Amino acid sequence: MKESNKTFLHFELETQAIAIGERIKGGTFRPCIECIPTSTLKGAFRDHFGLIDTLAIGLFREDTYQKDIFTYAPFDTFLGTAKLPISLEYLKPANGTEAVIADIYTVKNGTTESLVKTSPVEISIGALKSKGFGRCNLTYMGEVKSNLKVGYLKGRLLEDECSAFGISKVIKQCYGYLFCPTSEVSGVYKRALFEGSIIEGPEILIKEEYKYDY
Amino acid sequence: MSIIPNNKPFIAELHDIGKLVDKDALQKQNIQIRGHTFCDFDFSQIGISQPSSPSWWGQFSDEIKSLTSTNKKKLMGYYISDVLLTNIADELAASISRTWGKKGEKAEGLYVLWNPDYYQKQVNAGEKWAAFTTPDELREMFKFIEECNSPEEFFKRYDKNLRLTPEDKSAPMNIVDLFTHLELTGKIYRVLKKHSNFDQRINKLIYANNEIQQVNEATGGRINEPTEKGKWIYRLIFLSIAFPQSLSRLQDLNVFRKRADLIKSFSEDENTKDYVLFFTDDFMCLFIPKEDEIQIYDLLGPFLKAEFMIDYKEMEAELNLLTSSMERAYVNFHSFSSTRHLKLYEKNLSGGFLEKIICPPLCDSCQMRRGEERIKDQIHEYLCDTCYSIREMGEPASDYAQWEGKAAWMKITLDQEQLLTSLHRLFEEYVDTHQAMQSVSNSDKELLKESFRPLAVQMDFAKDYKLLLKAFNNQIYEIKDNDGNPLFTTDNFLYPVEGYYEFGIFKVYSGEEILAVLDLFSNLLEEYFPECLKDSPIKLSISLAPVKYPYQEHWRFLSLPKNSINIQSPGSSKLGIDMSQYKLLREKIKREDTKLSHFLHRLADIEIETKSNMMVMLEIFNNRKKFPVLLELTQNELSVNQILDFYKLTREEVIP
Repeated sequence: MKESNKTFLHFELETQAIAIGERIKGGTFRPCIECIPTSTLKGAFRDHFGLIDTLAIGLFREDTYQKDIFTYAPFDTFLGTAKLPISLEYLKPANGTEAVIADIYTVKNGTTESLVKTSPVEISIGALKSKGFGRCNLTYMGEVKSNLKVGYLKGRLLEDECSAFGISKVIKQCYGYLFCPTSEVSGVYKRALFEGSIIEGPEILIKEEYKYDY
Repeated sequence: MSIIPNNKPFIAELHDIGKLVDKDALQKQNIQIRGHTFCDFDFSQIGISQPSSPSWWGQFSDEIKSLTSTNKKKLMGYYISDVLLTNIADELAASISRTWGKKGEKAEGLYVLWNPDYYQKQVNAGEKWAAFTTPDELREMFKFIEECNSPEEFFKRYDKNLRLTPEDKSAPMNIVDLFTHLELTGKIYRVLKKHSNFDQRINKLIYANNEIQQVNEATGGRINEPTEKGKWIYRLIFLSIAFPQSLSRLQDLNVFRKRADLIKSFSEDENTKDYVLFFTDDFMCLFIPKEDEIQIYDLLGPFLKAEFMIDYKEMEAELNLLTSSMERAYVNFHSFSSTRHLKLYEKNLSGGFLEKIICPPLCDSCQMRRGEERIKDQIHEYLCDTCYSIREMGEPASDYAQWEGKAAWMKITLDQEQLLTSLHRLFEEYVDTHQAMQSVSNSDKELLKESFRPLAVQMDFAKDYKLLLKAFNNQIYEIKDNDGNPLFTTDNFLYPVEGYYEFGIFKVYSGEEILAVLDLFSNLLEEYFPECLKDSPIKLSISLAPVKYPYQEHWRFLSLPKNSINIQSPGSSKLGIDMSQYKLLREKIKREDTKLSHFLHRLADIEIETKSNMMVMLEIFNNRKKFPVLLELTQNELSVNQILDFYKLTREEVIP
């Protein structure tokens, strides 16, 4: 089995409640997703550590979380009235576990190595930070060299980040879009690979092996 | 001697019409018939001459395996290629390769794997398999071969007989009805014919630059013959047609109609209908040539143009290796280190239409294209043209918008992967245990099981599935409440998309409505698929919530059914059980049993307060004499949570 030419820094992220929103506009229900896209981590590392363009992907460990719903009524400060209540889906620790745990893998380079020195550190990720959601402990676990494998992707990353993550081939694309800021006040949506895409890439990104032809 | 053919078309389906002849009955009337074909039949017995239509030559399809056949002189030159292609198609449509030899005993009528009593019930109802039992009827058959204009005419006229007659009367080949077998044979024949040329100068059939004269040259050998290559490569494709839209408004449900309309027109269009072997509301099985001959992107253009997302499994292989058990065949094929051609791919189509970068706003519904501001009833939304056009298709389930209280969204699903697993299990049980198979040795039984090709059986199953949906649709409005009034009417049980019977929405006042729907589903499953109760590929999901609950969240639950019965009441309960568990719960948990009801309430409170299954179990154990039913249920692989959830979801109280 070939080894990926990429080295990753592995962090463990622990939280009691986190809501990374599925991008659904309108309506009063906000579902959450079960991974941390590269664009979310890029924003979090920029806000907390001033790092520009960090390449990192987050994957929640399946047996550590369950979904629940938090309902709240946002307040319109301009009109001084309450808006329609919103139900927010979030992840909380599964029965019998103490915290929701995610594995965060950053591509090792000069920039990301500085993160190691700050570990352990508290950061905030996702929605409703003002209500206490998304407070996470980020702990450095070590360097990871991963074997190349063909299988189903288990996270979300921009299409143009594939080679930086060591993805050598995209066999089947399940596309979606991730928001990428271009300035403080604007941004664009970029095409991204979502869960279920079939790739040849580092084993850490693979949920299940793909056994057929391509 | 050559006969000038009449001007009728060659209808491959007619080659097996002889299987509807009751030879024994005719023999008693002094008419001698050998086999089920009439190529050597003595027509003087019934005082007529042989038909002159091209379809007549189909009678030779069983014996013509080469264009150089010595029988060729008997045939009308050009039609020999049709006869040879019919032979190839007939073999591919068979549920077990005819080259495997060993069979069990002959039996009358069809053996339906998932409903073994089907044939007897039909006979008891006065139906019969044979269409031709007297000399007059036999003459009528030859007249029909002479005059038939289309396969549809044949299927319409002999519909009932074809559905009761097996493709092959010997066990275990008697599991597919002649209707489906011939439907499949006809489609495959026409696809092969469309994509090949018969060059009379060199007496060869040519497909994709590959010339053949013998059937085996085209199809290749069996899977365990690694050097017996076939020249003709075709594709069998399972494709699911999904949509990216989130269902945030009722008008978004129009996407189902759009998809159903497209599938219908694709499977009825003269240019494409023969590629579609069978379909359901979100799935199609296609038989098509390889990519050089026909590009799937072009073929499925109408779906892609309408922005549907197509995920598919594609088996590309020599004809004789093609099977719908794709993964099994792939593993089996690679165990022989074969040099032959068999590929299996997972692919999708849709990416080509998607921009690399989209400047905001993104479409609120599909999130795949740029949205434009649309204002309706003072609501601002950003929608792309496709999603907007879906909104503009009409107002489905408009009554739903006026409902208050709780409603249930319901979906019945046919899980194609589970279906293949179930069919293999049923077939293996049939081969291993049925009386008609007793004379077959164990090693031959193993060979038969290995050679099972479930495609035609799948087609049959899908037909029965559609019958179940139709029956559900009819019977739901016949259910009576305690006062003898209809429990459901078209006002409180809606089918939002006309003709799409997998999906319904109904008003829920108490557990009575939920139980009524579950009971009807359970009864129909038992009626149509009694042998599939253990591992049913047909699944029912119900999502129960206040009417304002997000439609997208209902749909998310409905579209991923895990068990035979799945029910959720978001924030309260989630239940997944199989049919036998449902029957047990239904039998043991009586809603009117107030004592049990109180005890279950207490268990529910204990569960909420302590969040401990152990405490609940302990309480059940301590009360085992008072409520033996609960202990019995837990001993039958039902968890306390499942019992509680079942009770909560179906309880008698009126749901506010």
